[in-house]
Amino acid sequence: MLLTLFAVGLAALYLLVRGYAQQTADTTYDQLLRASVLSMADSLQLVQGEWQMDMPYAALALLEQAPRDRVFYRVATTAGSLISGYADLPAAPDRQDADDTPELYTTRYQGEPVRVAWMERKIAGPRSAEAAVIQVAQTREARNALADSILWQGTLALIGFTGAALALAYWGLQRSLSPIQRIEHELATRSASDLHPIAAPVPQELDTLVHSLDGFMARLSDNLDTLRLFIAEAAHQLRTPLAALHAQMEVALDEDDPAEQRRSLLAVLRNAEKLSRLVNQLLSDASVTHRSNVKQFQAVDLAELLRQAAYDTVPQAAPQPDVRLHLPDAASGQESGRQTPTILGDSLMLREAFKNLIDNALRHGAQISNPISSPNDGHIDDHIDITLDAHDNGWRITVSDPGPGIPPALANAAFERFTRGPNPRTSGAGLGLSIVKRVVEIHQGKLSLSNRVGGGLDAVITLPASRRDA
Amino acid sequence: MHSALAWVGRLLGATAFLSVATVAAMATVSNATAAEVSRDGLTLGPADSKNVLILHASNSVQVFKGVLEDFGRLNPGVRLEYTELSTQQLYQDTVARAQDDATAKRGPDLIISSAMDLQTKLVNDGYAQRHVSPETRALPAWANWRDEVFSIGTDPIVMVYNTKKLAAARVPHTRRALLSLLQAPDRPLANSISTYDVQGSGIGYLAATQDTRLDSMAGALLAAFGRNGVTTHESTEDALDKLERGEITLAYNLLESYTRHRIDQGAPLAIIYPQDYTLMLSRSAIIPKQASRGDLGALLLDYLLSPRGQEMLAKQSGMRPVNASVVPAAGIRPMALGVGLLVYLDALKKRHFLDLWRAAILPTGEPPRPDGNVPVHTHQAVH
Repeated sequence: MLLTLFAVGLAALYLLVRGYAQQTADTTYDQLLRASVLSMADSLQLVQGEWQMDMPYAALALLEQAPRDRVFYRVATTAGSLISGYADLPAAPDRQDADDTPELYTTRYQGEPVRVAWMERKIAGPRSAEAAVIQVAQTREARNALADSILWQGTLALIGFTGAALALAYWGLQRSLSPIQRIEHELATRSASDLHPIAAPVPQELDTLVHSLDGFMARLSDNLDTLRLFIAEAAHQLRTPLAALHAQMEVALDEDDPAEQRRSLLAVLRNAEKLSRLVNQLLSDASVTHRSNVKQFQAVDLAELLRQAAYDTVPQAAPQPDVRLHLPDAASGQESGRQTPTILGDSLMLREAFKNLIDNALRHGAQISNPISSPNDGHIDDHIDITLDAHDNGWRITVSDPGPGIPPALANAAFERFTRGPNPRTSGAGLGLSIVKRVVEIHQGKLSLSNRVGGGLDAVITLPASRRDA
Repeated sequence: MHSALAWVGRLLGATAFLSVATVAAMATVSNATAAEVSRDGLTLGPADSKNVLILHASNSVQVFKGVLEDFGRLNPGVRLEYTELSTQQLYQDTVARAQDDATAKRGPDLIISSAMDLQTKLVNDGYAQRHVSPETRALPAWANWRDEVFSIGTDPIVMVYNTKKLAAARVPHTRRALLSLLQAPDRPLANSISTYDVQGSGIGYLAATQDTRLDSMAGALLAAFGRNGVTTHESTEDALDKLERGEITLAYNLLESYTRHRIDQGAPLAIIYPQDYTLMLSRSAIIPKQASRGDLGALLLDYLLSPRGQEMLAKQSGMRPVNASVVPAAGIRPMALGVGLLVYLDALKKRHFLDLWRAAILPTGEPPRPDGNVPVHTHQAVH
């Protein structure tokens, strides 16, 4: 495409030069023809009704400036009768505004193209003014030779300029691309773990690109560091219950008393459950990380997700915690303003988030299952509320637990990975809230924790409604 | 003043030396082919040859015979048929052949004429074909027009006087000096000067028109001729006869070649090369477009232009070799082949010029020629 444009441009330039060459050649030799016609016209006289012409030597001799060209002329009355010269020279085209300046035209004579200058000369005769037409024709050899030479020189200049322009463009490209090649070389020779800023010197124009690359690598480096920390922490988290399992099983093996043996085995079971939950959380974290990269959102029903999450999380065996689900009922009057609580989102991620949130509430707030506390202690708040309601063009999910809440010192760190609540009895890996927070942020929502007056923690998620619903 | 004479002497000396050398070389070659010479023709070479070269020329057979025989020695397989025609005839035949049937291949393969202007007109009007060879490329620019008409030799146009009738001290070496002599109180040239009759001679017309072109005094000179009772000559030979007999003292515009021949034979004549300018007339050659054997015409042309041919021409005809014609001295002016020569072929121009010429030359009261007008394009062979 670009090449075609280039070729068309060159062709246009060539035609331009050719036209100019032809015009220049014509202009040069037309002057001679004009002079010839004028000098002939000057020597034309009407003496006693008879035409006389004492043609000056120069009339034809000056046309020898075109040394090889043949010359023909014709002098005739306007009626057409020949006065002198070549009778069969083609007549001039009719001219409207006949004045005393020579005109030019091109025709063929004796099988050759000729350029003709002609003019009319009026002379007052004895009875009336008589007029004669003088034509001088010349072949085109010298014109063509001159035009060819101009064209050749012009074309040569054109080729030269084009070549120079191409060479300059090539050189310029090489020059401007060489820093990129340096960067490419530096990156190619680096070890995979080397994420230091690019050292290769670059021109100003590439500063922003290099800065972006450096910034990107810095973020990549941070992420890698986080990942390494996560792996180290995860390994550490897995090692503790494994060590406990190991120790308790040894104790169980050494025990002869069946009752003691059973107690040890129960401890093994608890640790296995703890380990299992930890592994589940790690898996959940991994799957959220994976899904968040893919980001394929579909319409999801929050109510259904909450129901599933509650069902998956809340143990069905005794002692069953008291978990109350408050979902907007399509039949109930106050919620009829909305349809089903649908947003665009990833159902798997959201379900993981809800499960973690509910699981958190169960573990940190389910004091009802605590065998130490009195059954009647705080009987009003000893259940978990899960509420879904419309809020500000979106949906709000509130999970309220009757637990101790969160100490202000930990409020900020609660969302970090591997941060656990103050309750030493609980057995989380500290991943729950961090997973929830990430999922909520991916869905452009908000997560907040607030201690309720009189005890208990409210975890509130607000999710913007899908645009389809708004 | 003597530089012109010195130059001519050098030139002739060189030519003579070369001629001797050539003759010596030719003596060893046996002349196998017999030449048949008629009054206005010549046939050379084997009668059964398939290569027949037809040459039409205005040169006299006697002058050209030796040159053509030398060509025949170099090209023994070529049969050469030479016909002598007047310059006017050469021109008219060529035009007539083309009008008859422009595509037919017939007529001469080479035309040589002393009428440069008519040959130029044939070229201008498209009757000649192009020929380029090392020989033509070696020609000076004035001797070659369009690679179609070529000068094969030059002949200076000079003044000649009878040494017995004019004292050396009074010899005019320029046209101005001639004018002064004509106007001298003792009228030394009264009724004893002659010039070309431009009405009957193509060469005379060509020389006279060039005079009016080159010399602003040409009109005054003509008027002085008229006042001195000028006689006119139809040809150089005619004028030389009158000079030798003592009928006239000085002749204006003669061809050098014939004069030199006459002087060599002992005539009491001397040549004046006018120092203001000395015109050089050319014999010119064209290969007609309709030539059936243009290649043979080109062969002869290249021979004539070759050093050997030029030397033969100079020896036989007294013409000057083309490349030796221009020397940077003595106002030598070769008439250039080119469209400028066509000016004086214009019918109106010619009529105008002849009217003026007659008015100046002819004694007052003498009527013009009986038919009252002058034939256009009248050129005759001058020998």
